[in-house]
Amino acid sequence: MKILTLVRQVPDAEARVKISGGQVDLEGATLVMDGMDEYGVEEALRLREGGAAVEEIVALATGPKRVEDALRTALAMGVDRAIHVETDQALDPIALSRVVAQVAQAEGVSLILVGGQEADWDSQALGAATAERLGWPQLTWTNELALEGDTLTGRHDVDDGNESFRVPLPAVVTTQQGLNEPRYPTLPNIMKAKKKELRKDTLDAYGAAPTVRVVGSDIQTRARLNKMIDGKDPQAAAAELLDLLRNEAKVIA
Amino acid sequence: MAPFLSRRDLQFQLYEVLGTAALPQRPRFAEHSREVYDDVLNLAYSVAERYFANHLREADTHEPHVEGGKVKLPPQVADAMRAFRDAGFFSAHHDEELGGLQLPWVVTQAVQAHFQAANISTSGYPFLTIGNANLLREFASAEQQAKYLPPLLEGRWFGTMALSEPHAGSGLADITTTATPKGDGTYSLTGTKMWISGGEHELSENIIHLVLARIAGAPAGVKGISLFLVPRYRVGPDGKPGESNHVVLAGLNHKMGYRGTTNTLLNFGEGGETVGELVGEPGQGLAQMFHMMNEARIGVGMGAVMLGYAGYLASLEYARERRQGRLPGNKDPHSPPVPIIAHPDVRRMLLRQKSFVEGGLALGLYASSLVDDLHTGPEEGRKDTGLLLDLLTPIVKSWPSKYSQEALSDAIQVMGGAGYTRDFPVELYYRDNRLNPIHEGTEGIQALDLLGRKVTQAGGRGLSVLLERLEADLAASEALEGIAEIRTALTTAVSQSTAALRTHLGRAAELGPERFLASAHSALEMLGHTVVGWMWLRQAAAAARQLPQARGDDPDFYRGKLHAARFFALYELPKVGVHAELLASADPTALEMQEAWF
Ligand SMILES: Cc1cc2nc3c(=O)[nH]c(=O)nc-3n(C[C@H](O)[C@H](O)[C@H](O)COP(=O)(O)OP(=O)(O)OC[C@H]3O[C@@H](n4cnc5c(N)ncnc54)[C@H](O)[C@@H]3O)c2cc1C
Repeated sequence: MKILTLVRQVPDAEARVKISGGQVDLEGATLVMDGMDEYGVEEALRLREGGAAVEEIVALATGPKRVEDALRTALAMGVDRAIHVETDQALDPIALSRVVAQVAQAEGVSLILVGGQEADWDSQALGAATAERLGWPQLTWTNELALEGDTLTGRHDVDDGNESFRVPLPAVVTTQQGLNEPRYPTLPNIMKAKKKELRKDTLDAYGAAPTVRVVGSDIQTRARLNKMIDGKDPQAAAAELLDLLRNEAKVIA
Repeated sequence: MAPFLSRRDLQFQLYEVLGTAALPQRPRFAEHSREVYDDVLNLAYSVAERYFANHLREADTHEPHVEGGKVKLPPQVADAMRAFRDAGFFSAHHDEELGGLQLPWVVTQAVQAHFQAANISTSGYPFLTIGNANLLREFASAEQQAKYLPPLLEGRWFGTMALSEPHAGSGLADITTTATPKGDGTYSLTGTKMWISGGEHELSENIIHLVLARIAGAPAGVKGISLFLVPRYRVGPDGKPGESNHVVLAGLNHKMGYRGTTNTLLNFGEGGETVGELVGEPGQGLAQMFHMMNEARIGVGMGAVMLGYAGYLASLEYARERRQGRLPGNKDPHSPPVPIIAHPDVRRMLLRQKSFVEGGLALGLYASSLVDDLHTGPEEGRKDTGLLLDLLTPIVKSWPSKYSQEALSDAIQVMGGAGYTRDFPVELYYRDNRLNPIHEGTEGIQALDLLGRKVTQAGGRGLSVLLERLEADLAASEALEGIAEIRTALTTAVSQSTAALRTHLGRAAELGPERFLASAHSALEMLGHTVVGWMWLRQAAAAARQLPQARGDDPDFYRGKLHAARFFALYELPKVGVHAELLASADPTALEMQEAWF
């Protein structure tokens, strides 16, 4: 069996992103592999290490040249090869699912692992859209995964407990925090990754074009008001605080 | 929390100032690429952030103590060691056949900088081990290497450097630890070693002490000192640690900083025999140690830089957020107070820190790149490179040790009362860094090494190489914009320094050794600032070249470099003249002061 894991590149949690021309400007930001996708890569590696008959693990990413860095991380973690569909065009999840589905079919994969949501563009739609295109079942927000023969069992935590599902392969699995603890690459594997195949495809080959366009973005701004309450008269100070909380901050009724 | 390191500056230093991306053109590094270096540095960042920075305060608060006869450390230290080991950092710079990656030394230092910045005391254990293994790799017999290197390179065994004794620190010639031949090629060691970092802990399966001792009957002084390999647990024929080798922990030292690194008083041959193996030839002990000193001392200098840098970043973040006071001229009490970074005096303190820590970083990495050139650079330049490195080593060790302390003092000052509390890490960095001017040869000893040995070594060739390279950088930057101040100030500093040295060296015979060396500190200060001024020229030139096509955050980054170079030129380089004058006159004020007058 072959596994396809999706890799997206997003700003580091600490990065200060800027907006320019209505778009998020990533110039100069530290970019990393999406944490959710790390769970996917790790889970693929664990399925193989756990004894499942995994022939090959392939990582797939779309995006500009810099996305290679995230694919190299996946290779250094242990995936066997990578495919980079290089484009400067931003793809919405529905358009992206067209690429994923075609790669999955061309490669003959029977399991697709994809982050439940992307740290930057929180659409949560990619897994579902890919499953829909392929007509495959989908396990969402998986916290635990087991493979026996051609049957996948996955647990999915909900607010007050959890549910378990069983599906036959081929299938799409979306991941979430708690699925595993992703490994770091090691120095020897960073060197080995250099020798692994990183195939470059063009977007044209897939006939995928975005139908949604981002026309504006804003970053929420938070400013401290630095309001000081004079504490000389405790009664008056308390009344003033109550008034501010009720009428200005509107956090109490 | 503020970041502990500027990844952008590290990239700048490596790729834009030092041209590290070209190293893969050398055969030893042919398998590498810039991407490999970036991935290695990213991995170092992740591991340092997660496993080293996480217990910085904890390791300071809960310093090592003995419980049930064993040294106890916070559990996060062991996790950090495991992460460091699993990633493969112990052997990264070694040959491929030893399981290494043959990483260049400059990249290795940049990697280590992450761990030093994140948690200097926890980083002590692996770095002592790496230094220990480097020494064995250079001088131990093939048989010893086969036995001891693999577990050290895999990070299963740790190492120490055991030179100092209670009565012999700077004056190592007076050590008394004795090694008596047992007749089977091994030795029986007795004596006491003081200050031994990492001398005892339960982090590794074994500890390999590299011990300086005298073979019974050896001549007095330096020529009678040999180097011995002494394991904590004797190593059996199966290569596994076995019975105790009677290296006994006599006590832990309770320190101002670096608290997470155990520091020990060790007795050899207590309650049983301590067996050691001679490394290299008898009488070569100190020479072998010093052979490795260039690298070890660059490591100390870099540790100092990274502590200063972390303090700078912490105070910078604070200064952007803390609001206090209004700008002169603003009389409106209803206007909000300004962030303190708006006050020129706060900017001055930040700029001073920036000029010290980024200048120190440039120097540490430059020296590291010379280590690479020495081994893999063009054959014909290696001799000169070696002499330049020898000359720079005392400066690389002591300049950042001293000026990071000043920077950290400024960091505390920027933060006011907050900087003086344990709620922020700057007071800790300040205490940690205070070790750096003391260990691995005190500042005073470095000054003597510089003036007494290095400037005259090989007929002063090291100094000529320094001047040639510095002048080449001055010439190459002539047409660049925005660097006039640093070029002018550096040119003046260089002519003052060379004139003063020429005068002083010319009078050596007349002055006699005592008065000649009494000016050693002036020479160290003078050359230290001049060399760091040169490092600022190199950075400013790189920034001036990049600025016209810079995008995103880069224009600010490059302007910051140019401005810090200007600050160093105007506020620091003039101090060279003061020291040059004291040196040229061989000023005897300190020498002539009498003990009874104090
Ligand atoms: C935390 C810590 C960790 C250490 N780790 C190790 C370790 O792992 N292994 C190890 O072997 N050692 C270690 N050391 C020892 C360290 O290298 C010595 O402390 C150092 O060499 C100074 O020796 P000393 O403390 O005996 O001071 P002294 O030698 O007594 O020096 C005191 C002062 O006198 C000055 N002085 C001494 N001689 C001269 C001279 N000839 N000319 C001018 N001035 C002079 C010195 O500069 C200094 O200012 C460590 C020390 C500390 C504090």
